Order: sequence, then C-alpha cells, then structure tokens
Amino acid sequence: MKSKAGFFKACIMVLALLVVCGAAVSAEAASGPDGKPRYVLGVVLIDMTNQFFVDMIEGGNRAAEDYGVQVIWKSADNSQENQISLTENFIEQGVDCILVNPIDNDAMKPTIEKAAAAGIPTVTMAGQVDVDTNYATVYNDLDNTRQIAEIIGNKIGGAGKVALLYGNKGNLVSDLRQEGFHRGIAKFPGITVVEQPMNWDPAEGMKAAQDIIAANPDLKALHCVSDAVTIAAYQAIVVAGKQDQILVTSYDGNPDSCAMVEAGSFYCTLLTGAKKTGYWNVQMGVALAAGARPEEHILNLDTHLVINEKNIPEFEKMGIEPKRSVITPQEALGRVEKYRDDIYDPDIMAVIERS
Amino acid sequence: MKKINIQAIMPLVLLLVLFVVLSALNSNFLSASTMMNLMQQVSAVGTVAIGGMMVIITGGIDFSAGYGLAMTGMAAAWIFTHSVFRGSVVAMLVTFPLVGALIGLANGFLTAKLKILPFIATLAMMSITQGLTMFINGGTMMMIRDPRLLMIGQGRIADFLPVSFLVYLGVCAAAAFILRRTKLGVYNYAMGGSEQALWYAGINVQAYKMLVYAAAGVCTGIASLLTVTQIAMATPNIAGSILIDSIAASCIGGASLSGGRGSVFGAFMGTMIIVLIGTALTYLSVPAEMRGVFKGVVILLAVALDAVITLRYGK
Repeated sequence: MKSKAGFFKACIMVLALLVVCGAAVSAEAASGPDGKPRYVLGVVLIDMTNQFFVDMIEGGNRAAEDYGVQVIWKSADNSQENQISLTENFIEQGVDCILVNPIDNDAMKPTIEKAAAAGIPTVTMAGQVDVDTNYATVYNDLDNTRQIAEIIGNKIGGAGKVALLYGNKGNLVSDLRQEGFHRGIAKFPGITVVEQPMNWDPAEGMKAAQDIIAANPDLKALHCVSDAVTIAAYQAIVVAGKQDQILVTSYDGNPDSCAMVEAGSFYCTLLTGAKKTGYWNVQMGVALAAGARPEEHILNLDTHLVINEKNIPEFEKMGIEPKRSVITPQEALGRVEKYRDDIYDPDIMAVIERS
Repeated sequence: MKKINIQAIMPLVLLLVLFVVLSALNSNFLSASTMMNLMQQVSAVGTVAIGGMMVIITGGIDFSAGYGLAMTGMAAAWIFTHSVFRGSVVAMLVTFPLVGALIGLANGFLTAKLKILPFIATLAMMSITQGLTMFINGGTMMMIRDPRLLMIGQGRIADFLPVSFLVYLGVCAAAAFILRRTKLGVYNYAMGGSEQALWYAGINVQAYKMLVYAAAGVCTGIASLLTVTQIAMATPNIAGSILIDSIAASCIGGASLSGGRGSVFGAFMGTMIIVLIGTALTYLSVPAEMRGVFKGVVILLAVALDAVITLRYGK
C-alpha cells in the first residue's frame, strides 16, 4: 500500500513537471509574423486577476501581434518585493524593454536605475519614476476623478453624505482616484464623505456598499473607482431599493458599465479603456526597444467621460471643465472595440522594420 | 453538562456583546435593513465555513476554498453565458456543486490517497484553481442578469428573509445531519482523534476522508452560487477574504485546528461574529489604516476569551 502511494506520488510529480515544461513552451511560442519575435518585452503588473488588468493583457497581446514582438506578462500579486524581483529577473534575462506598474514609485526607483545601467529602457505605467531612460505612461486619474466628484456635488445640490469605495491604500491608482475625489468634494463644504476600501473585489465592494447604506440611510451618492466593483455595489443599492435616491458614478468605462450609463443606472463612468491602455503601453515599449527616445517623458493617454446623451446638456451647464471630452455610452462602446484603429502607429512599425 | 453549556454559549455571548456595543454606538445599527444585510452577508462565508469546519474536524485544512469559489463561479457563469448550455439555469445550478466537488475530490485524493499534508496539498490546489480561473473566458468578467438566478442571491421572502440565507440554513441543517446522524459524521470526528484507530477497526478511512473533502468542495460550490448571484457577476477576483474569514469563523466557533472538535452551531455563530466585525468597521467609522488591526484584535479577543473560559471551567 505504501509503495502504491509512492508510485502515485512519482506519477503526479512527473505530470507536474510536464505541465510546467508545457507552460514554458507555450509562452515561448508567442512570436512575430515570420515566426521569430523581433523584440522581447517584459511586463510586471500589480495583479492579473483584476478585470482591468485582464483586459489590459488582451490589448497588449494584440499590439504584440501587430508589431511581431513577444510579451512576457508577470503578476506581482500586489507585493512590492515580488515586483522588484520580477523586474530584476527581466534585467538578468536581458529583455529589450521592461514595463511595470509600480506599487510604490520610490521603492521602484533603484530597480529602474539598474535597468538603465543595463541599457534596458523602461516604462512605468500609471506611475512616475525619474530616471533618464524611463517613460511614464499615465492618464490623469486625479483630475478625472476630481471632475466626477464635482458632478456629484452639483447633482446633489452641494450638501449631504456621499460614499466613496476606493481600492486599497498605497496603491497608486487607487490613491490618485481617492485624492482626486476629495479635491472635487472639497469645493462643497456641505458634503461629507464616507469611504471604504474594497480591495478591487466585487464581493467586498457589495458588502461595503450594503453596510454604508444601512449605516447612512440619508446617503445621496456613491462613487466607486473601478467599474466591476461599482456594478456589484449597485446590486446593494438595488437590494435596498434605493436606485432613485442614490446617484452612482464609476470609473474605467468597461462595456457593462457603459450599458449601465445608457440604462440610467449610473450617471457617468470614465473611459480609460483597459484594452487600449494595454495596447498603448506595449506599443510604447516596442518603440523604446527599437531605439526611439521621445523628448517628453510623461505621456498622457486621453480619456473620455461617458454620460447618457440626455444628461450631457445638464453636465455642460455645470461648467466643470469646458474642454473635457464627453461621449455617449454608444460612442464609448464603439471606441472600446475599435481601440486598435485609434492608436496603431505605422511610424513605429517603420522604425522597427528599419532597425 | 456544565462544560458543554459554557463552551457552546461562548460565541453567543460574544455575539450579544457585539450587538449591544454596536447598537449603543450607532443608532442606525438596530434596524431591519441591518439584519437583512447581516443575513445576506453571512450566507456565502458561512457556507464555506461549514465545509471548512468539516475538514478542520478531520485535523486537516482546506486552503483551496477561496480561489475554488472564484473558479467555480467562473466555470458556472461560462456554462451559462458561453457554452452549448447557454441560458440554462439548471445547467448552471448543477455546475456549482459539481465543479466544487471535483476540486474537493482532488484535495481528498492528494491528502487521503497520496498522504500529502493537507496544508501543502490544498495550498497547491489553491494556486492551481487561481491559475485555472484565468483560463475560463480569458479571465474576463461575466454578468449574470437572469432574474431567476438573481432571486437566489438578492431575493427576499416576505420582503425580509433573504433567499441566500435560507440556502445557508439548508446547508447548516444538512451538515448537522451528516455530522450527528451518519457514519460519515462519526468517522469525521474520529479521524481528527486517531486515524490509526479507525484504520485498525477496518474502516476505509481514505474513502471517508475523500468524502469529507468532497463535501467541503460542494459547500464551496454553493457559496460560489450565492456570491455570484448576489453580485450579479463572476470575476476571477471574488475570492477576497472569504477563505481567511471562514477559517477564523470556524475557530471562533470552537473548532480545533488539531482536529476532533467543531460544531455547526459554533461555525454559524463564528460566521455571524466575523461578518459583524466587518460591519462594525463601517458603523464605527474605523479608519482604513486601522481596519486590519481592529479585525485581528477582535478575533484574538474572541478566541482568547474562549480559551480562558475553557481553562477556568472546561476541564
């Protein structure tokens, strides 16, 4: 009986080994049109289970296909140490460009400097690290969220309680969106903010929303910094039967959320476009790998406020930001799918074909 | 007699203390909506805790419950939105316990047949389920809009009693029946005492142990059903803190990690306490930086209090 168990164990181990080898081979197989990748890019994401990152990977892989490069995706699983060691692995591996979304900008700096010393250009996504060969790809989360907060302030008449569900403290994206919200609300002294982290988990977001609604029966609005969680939090509002009483706003612009704006469940969301962000970042990485060195080190991705057509005149009357790009949910859905046509850059293709 | 009473009512006392403190500090606490929320919120964690407790009683532990829940949810939502069974509520409802049971059986096979430590085996399964989740529908979230399904997670009977809570009570009743009235239940406790003795008695310990893990897997599947229909979607990251919360709930409810001890009533109370602690954070406006500390301290207090009482009156 013992030996039988031993045999099983051995079988399982061999199987496990085969699985690992198989996974390694399949990762190798991603390549350019001529069978060989032109460049290898290493990407370290904060986390790979969040919907935003899942979409980002899809967009990034599409760019990799278009430009014939290989992208290796790694998840830091929300750990700064993991992020540093994964980035260092890429440096040792000698990839052509490293992209990382820093959990903490300062903590990442020494590693970015190491990459620079090894001659590897870097992209810090949604984060800023001041090193010569580093480029920051950001969108203006701070300002965008400030504007959403001002919309809420205007809509609820400048007084009352509003809820904010943010991601988690110390996460740059979450921090910026939280800070932006407070800046917007600061213009309305009559408003108090009740806030809670949701750790990017829809189930946790729903519980948080339920508790906030029960503890604050006079709640007037709820903003959540990530669409998937906002949709879950909205279920709490539905269950409480307070759809008419609580104004809901969101961020990210994923298709389900745009549909909620169209249906009138959400007042607005903000389209950053996760797939587009992924495509754009990988495209940037390709350009750097090919030797391009843009003058500007902070590159902004344009974003769009998504508002139901019938509410756009109302928004314009608020006079929050005259130059703000505002689109309808329908337009947003179109953009979500057509992102590649928007940003594919033949010039970059020309550069890498010459190199 | 005296010993059993004190042990059993400790969680109840703790729960009452939490209730009194919370209602004293926030006037909105004692309301129908709070009670409805509480019942809805305990259902998924509670169901995981029941399965986890059965495993804990054997002296094992199941770390795969969290991501197992996420994977089961993704699989069922995929069946419902993308497979040939698209739109079939029945197919989806069957998928939940089925996938859960498969994960449980895998756990059981690794621990019972291959004698791998439960800690290692289920930790590995946790990683595997987490990875597999990303393969289902490419890790992209799937919305569930069918009102029949949303009824399970969001519906209420007589405008008060959440359907999900009834499902949870059903799971509690089934588990209590198994633990008290069936052979599986008797052997479940006995395994936590001495597996060797059972083996010498000619009982197929391995088979029963696999059954226990499978039952825990079914609980994970049902919890996944409750979660998915509550938030109206399946995503890879709905696992959150449910694993840790469910283990803490079992332990607060008197289950012993060294095996042989634990009860459905205890796990139920433990879950109420764990969920109420989370709710308290909101009602007491505990700042975000302090939330983890607050929760940890309350759990420690709860377990320590139990230990003190046991030392003083138990033996």
